[in-house]
Amino acid sequence: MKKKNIVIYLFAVFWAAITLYPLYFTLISSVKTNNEIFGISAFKLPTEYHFDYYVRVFVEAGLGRALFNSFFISSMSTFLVVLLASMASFYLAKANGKIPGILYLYVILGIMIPFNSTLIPLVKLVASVNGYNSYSTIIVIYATFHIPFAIFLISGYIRGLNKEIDESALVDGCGPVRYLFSFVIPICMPIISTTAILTFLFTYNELIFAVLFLTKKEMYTISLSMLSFVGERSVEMGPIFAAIVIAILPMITVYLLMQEKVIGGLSTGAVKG
Amino acid sequence: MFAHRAKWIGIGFVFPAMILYTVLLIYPALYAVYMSFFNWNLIASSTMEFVGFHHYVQMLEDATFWRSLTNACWFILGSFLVLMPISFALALVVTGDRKFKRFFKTAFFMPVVLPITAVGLMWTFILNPNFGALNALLETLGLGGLAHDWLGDPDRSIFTVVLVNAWVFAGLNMVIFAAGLVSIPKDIYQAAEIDGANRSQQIWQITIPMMKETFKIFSILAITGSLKVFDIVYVMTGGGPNQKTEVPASLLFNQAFKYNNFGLANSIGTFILVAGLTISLILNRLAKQDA
Repeated sequence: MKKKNIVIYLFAVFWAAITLYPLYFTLISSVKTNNEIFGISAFKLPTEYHFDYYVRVFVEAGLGRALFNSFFISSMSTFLVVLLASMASFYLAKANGKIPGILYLYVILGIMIPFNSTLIPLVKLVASVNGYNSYSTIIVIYATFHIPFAIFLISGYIRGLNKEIDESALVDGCGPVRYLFSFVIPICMPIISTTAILTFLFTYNELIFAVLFLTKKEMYTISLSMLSFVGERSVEMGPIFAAIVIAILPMITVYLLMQEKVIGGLSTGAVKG
Repeated sequence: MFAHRAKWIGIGFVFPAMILYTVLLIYPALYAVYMSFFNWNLIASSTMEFVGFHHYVQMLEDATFWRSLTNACWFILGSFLVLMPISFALALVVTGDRKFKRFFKTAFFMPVVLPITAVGLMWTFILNPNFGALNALLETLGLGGLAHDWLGDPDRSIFTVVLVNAWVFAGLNMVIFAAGLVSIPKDIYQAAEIDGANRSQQIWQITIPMMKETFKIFSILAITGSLKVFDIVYVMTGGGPNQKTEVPASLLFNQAFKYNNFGLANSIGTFILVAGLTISLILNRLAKQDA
């Protein structure tokens, strides 16, 4: 028993080191000069700290703007997903008959469609409406790709709810709109926040739609900005590491503040998915 | 359940989601299938030339396509041989009664919340042969002989990417396994303990059989996920060196947006679509049959 425990602890410490070390490596490299990055061991702290890289990256590479873009696009997509998916789930879970059943299956099919296969037609579609470099294009596309899974989660939750609430609301003469906003949405808050967290996480970290549809620098999301910065300058490493730190810092902060919600949300989402 | 007028309002609730979904997801997916039978450069004014299965023949004759499939298989194999045991062990760590449980849980899950671009870049630099930490570590341990250009060597780069991908997803799958672990009733273990079963016997004879459902979910996600791998390859190698790390999705992207071979790219897209749907349906069916 005791020996088993030590083995498990060793494994736990080993894996924690593997998950945290890349962050440490990036952090210390971001304050090193090129000479130190190439000269001293990757494990050693620098002799001099260079924080000016951070300022330069923020100003030169426009990382501040990219952070704003990422947050704005992700928040709006998340809002759209939550709103549209709640509305749709409400009908799909509550209405009886054949049509809602068929519509539900039709939407759920979307979970299984690999997004890669839609890329080329989407490019054509976006080009035909001049939708490049526009917030609304990318927001709507992100939202659409997360709607099927959101509907799956929310309608599953609504189906599990007690039917008596329906009846009392209906006896009071409550119409569907009021019913949705004053009964269904408040009761569904747990699953709605799960859906919101998942959507925000995935849209903030998304790369490929951004690569295709955001070509102007002012529109870049944080991932794109970081990637193009690395592509442009392979000479000086310090600023590149600083850019990576700036990109991951918001997500780490949000995660540390809300970790119970994030992990809890993913476990309901993942297990049911 | 609602009155007649109210029912129409209810249907109005579904429409916005349905329209977006149909126009931006279903239509593009079907259109990609349609386009795979034509020669066309995406410019509206140019003519479309019907070529039948030409692009599919081209795809099947392309050695890189077969390599991309092989690589997708490496991702699947990596999921079962590396990702699954690690995630399961991590789940055991975070569900047990241990000190520092919260710290471990936070650390193990960390990679999941990081932008994949940042993850890809961090690892690219850690694996860098000139200043990366991995080679430095091997040298410190006296294993300098194992030091390597991890991403530059065409024979090994795909394994490097598979392992980094496992690093990203271990935390997520830990959560899936942890959810399965906590749903097993505690008294079964107590009974087993009274019968004199030790910890590893308990894991093999109670935990794993009781988690069949979770292993199924893992398998579905791992296999369908492996077919869709893209970001990590795009950031770390772009499919290189020598197209050795190309996966179906990166091949599609490169053919379409680097070489303008839209027809070939669409046939690869159709292949991914059909394979993805078929595998999901079969696995779902199997999972239901056993349940």
